[in-house]
Amino acid sequence: MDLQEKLEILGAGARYDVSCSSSGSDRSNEGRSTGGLGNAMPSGICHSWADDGRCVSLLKILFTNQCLYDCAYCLNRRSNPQKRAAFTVQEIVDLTIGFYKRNYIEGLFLSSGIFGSPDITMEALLRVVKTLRLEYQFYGYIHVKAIPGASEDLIRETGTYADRMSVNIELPSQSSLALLAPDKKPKDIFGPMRLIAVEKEGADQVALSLEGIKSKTLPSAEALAVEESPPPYGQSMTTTRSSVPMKKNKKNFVPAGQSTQMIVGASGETDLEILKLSSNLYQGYNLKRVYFSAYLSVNTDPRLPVLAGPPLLREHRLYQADWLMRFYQFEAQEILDTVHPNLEREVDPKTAWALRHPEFFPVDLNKAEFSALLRVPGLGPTSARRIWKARRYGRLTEDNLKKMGVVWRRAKFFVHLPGQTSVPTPPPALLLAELADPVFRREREKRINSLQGELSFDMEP
Amino acid sequence: MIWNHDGSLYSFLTAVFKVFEVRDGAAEIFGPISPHGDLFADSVSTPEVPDELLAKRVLEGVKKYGGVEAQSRVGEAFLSEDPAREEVILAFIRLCVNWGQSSLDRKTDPIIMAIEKMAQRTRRECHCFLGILRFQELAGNAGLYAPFSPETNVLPLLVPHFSDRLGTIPWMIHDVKRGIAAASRPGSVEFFHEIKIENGPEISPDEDGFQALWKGFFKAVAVPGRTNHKLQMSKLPKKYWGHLTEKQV
Repeated sequence: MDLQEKLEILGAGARYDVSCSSSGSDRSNEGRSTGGLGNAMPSGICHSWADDGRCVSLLKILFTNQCLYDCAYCLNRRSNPQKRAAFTVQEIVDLTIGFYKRNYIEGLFLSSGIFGSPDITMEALLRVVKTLRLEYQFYGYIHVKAIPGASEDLIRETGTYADRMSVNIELPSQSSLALLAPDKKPKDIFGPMRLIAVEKEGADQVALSLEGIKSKTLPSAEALAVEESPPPYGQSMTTTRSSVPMKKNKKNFVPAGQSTQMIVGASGETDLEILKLSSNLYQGYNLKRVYFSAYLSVNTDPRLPVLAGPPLLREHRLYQADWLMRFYQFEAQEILDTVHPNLEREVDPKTAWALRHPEFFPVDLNKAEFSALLRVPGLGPTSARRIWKARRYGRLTEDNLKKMGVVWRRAKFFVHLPGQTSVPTPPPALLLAELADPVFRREREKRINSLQGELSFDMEP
Repeated sequence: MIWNHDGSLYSFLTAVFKVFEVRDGAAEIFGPISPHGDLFADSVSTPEVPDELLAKRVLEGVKKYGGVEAQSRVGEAFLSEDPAREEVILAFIRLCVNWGQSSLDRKTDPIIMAIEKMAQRTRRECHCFLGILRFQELAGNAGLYAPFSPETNVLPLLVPHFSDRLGTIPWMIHDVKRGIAAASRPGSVEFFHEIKIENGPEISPDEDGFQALWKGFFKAVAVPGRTNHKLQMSKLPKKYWGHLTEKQV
């Protein structure tokens, strides 16, 4: 099989791993005058956008699409009659260096099907990473998967060369995992996650103390050391999130942290369960990102639901909720609760919260706390920061708020500007219609227009 | 008084220095891009000869009064090549002298808003090109060559990143639209003006193979059930497709 065909098969095989991030690492070319190649930008760089609109920033490939396992949802599962291929270490290295030089990529994202054993697979990945770093003096971004069930030593060693490592939890609950991916045991997934989190805490502590900064107290070694069995789904570990700033990490261990991914829509969990799990993962394992992947039907299997198409809207809403937790200071239990266990269809989660909590509004933009500004629909962290700075020096008006990036069309119902008569709030049903996502507003208008045609008398839109 | 600059940042800043030196409260600075009133055609003065020392004194002054970020804004706004850049930058420097380190915090002021908008355009395009600049390998180990056509003049801002990234590999980045280029030299970078390539650079024979690999990978990476050309287009506008390897037929 020629290299072109291999690359297309093994690139296609890896595309369901949605992490595209090349951010979180701050590195200059340490071999700049001796033939070193590459650096890493903290913000990450998007190099292109594929036909599905997703960012391409890394050479995302499988080492091989051979796999011992037979997970129900996976294109590469053992029982599928796929064309199988495998790279050699040298081929991957040559591709990475060749693409990197031409500025096609920020670096490498290396995953694999399981061949031989988890350890044999992990060894192969480690060999690629070591060759790039040590023989080729490559200082670009490397994201390597931690193979579930691989030995601690291999994972530990890989982490000293990689920028990011990740293990996919695959499904949002233990029962779904047992049903759809019975070859992957929870301890094989959470074990490596815990190891990576602990090693990274240690490395960051060393880096901090080298810089002479007093660190916040971390939990003791006893608290970290652990339980042989992993914590049940949704229950956090005893470590607390360390507030280690992103710095040039002298003792390197995955400077860009770890992330994970779960499939949404292949099993019956509610959005509330998913968000609670996400929140616990962020806190318990100090993850940088939790990714959601809308279930895409590639196999026919009685264990899997038959959907008309991937639940893209649900995935989108979950990401919006994820953003609320990470950037807007929301807690999972504020976004959803047992009365509302699933995210709204027509409005984003923040607007849904605002509609459920009219007692919080109107917010006085001149006096409100920063966290309160973030709760106003139409105001994001950037506008909130601008308002925070600008309000000391000048009066906020509708005009300059709009120029600062506030979506006035939404925010006007929720804010109070001194010297301005407040906009009368429409009744809840109409407010919901007004604040719905544009695509739903258009749908609604079409429905009403067609009704108007039928009934031929005026209706309030 | 009417002042003039030759299009380079140092020439403009030399004019700024002189404006402050003679305390010209009604100064207007024009350059190759800004619209000249034809009424003033007779009294247009000669462009200021760029004086590096004076220009640097202006930059240091902006840093001293307005802060490091204010200093960056001056350069970024100038590179945006917006027709109103001279007017806005001069007004901004005056504001920095008056308001000091809090200048950029006054987000509601029209001058601050104007300069932030210009600077942001430049920064956004710069970050975009960090990603979409595409190099080709030249024959005989001559190095890497990347042509591109930006709307704002981002070449000076791209150089530090690629200089670091590529290490000892010789490289050249060529702004085809403006006819300027930057090329690596041992330990430094050389800038060229009014550059034109006559018989295209000699590309390495392996280059086609790599481009084919990249195009194949690019196609394979898209998930079939999630095609979304609208989203792709909004992130990757057609204006940039000209030099983009994966969009070449």
